[in-house]
Amino acid sequence: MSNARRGSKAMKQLHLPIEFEDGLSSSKKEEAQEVEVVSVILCRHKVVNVIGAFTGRTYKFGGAGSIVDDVDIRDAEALVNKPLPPSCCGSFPTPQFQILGR
Amino acid sequence: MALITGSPVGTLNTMEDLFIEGAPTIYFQNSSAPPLFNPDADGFYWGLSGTSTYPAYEIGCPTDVSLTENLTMNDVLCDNVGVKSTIQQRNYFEFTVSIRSLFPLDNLSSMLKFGTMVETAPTQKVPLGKINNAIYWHVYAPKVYDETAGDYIWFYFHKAQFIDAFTINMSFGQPWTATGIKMRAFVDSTKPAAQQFGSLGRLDPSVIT
Repeated sequence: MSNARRGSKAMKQLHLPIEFEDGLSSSKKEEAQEVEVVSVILCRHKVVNVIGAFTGRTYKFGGAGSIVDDVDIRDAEALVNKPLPPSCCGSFPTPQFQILGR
Repeated sequence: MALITGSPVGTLNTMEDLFIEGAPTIYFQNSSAPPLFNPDADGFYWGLSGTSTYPAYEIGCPTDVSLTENLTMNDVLCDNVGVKSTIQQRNYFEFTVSIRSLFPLDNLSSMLKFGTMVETAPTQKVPLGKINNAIYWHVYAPKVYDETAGDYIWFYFHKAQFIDAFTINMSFGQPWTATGIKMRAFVDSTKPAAQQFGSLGRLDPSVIT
């Protein structure tokens, strides 16, 4: 994967089509309108359907090296920080998911 | 100390008073990935560097580890004087190992030649079907023999397959054990002829100076 692609995805902003009622504070509007999305890569040889811990969205990864581009950053951080089971024999496992281009 | 009789005269090379105990740690990785040293300064291809697409796997809790080779040997028989020589060809190397750590299933699936695991929390499912004979692995087996100094040796093979039938023993009062797991290392014709199967290395600064 090219570095250019990583960079552009990492900085991509998703503007959600949300309409606000009058009286909603501007800071809340800003927060709701700008949700950062990132690309997440799966680093294990398996197919994974995982539910985002924050949004409840289902993300589908098709195998080792597969990338999902529009993962809510809050879900992404939950994915990469998932605790791993203890390792058997001395080596340390790396996270199953990685955020690209941070 | 030389024997009173029987010691050769002249230049002599002897073995070291050093012994290795226990199994190495065995790692494998899809052979589509380049090795860590590709090659190193001495022209050797070895080591693993796990990537997102091609992660490296550690074989957990190995027991009964052995390494052997297979040769074709034919004597050169002269009918007037007898056997003058033996022609040998190396066919493959083979690691045999049993394992007691069976999780996660995606690691086990690779070793037992199962299909690609599908995970949807909280379940994992592995398809048991035909064997994919097109998957080859690098095998890297380092063994630290002096943990204070960090001295170690390693075996590295370019292109191996998991072969033969496994058995999972499920005995009362004993951990499940998958036996008969064999990694057969073949020639990688893309590598230099002298190291077509792989290489053996040693790092020991106190001896190798």
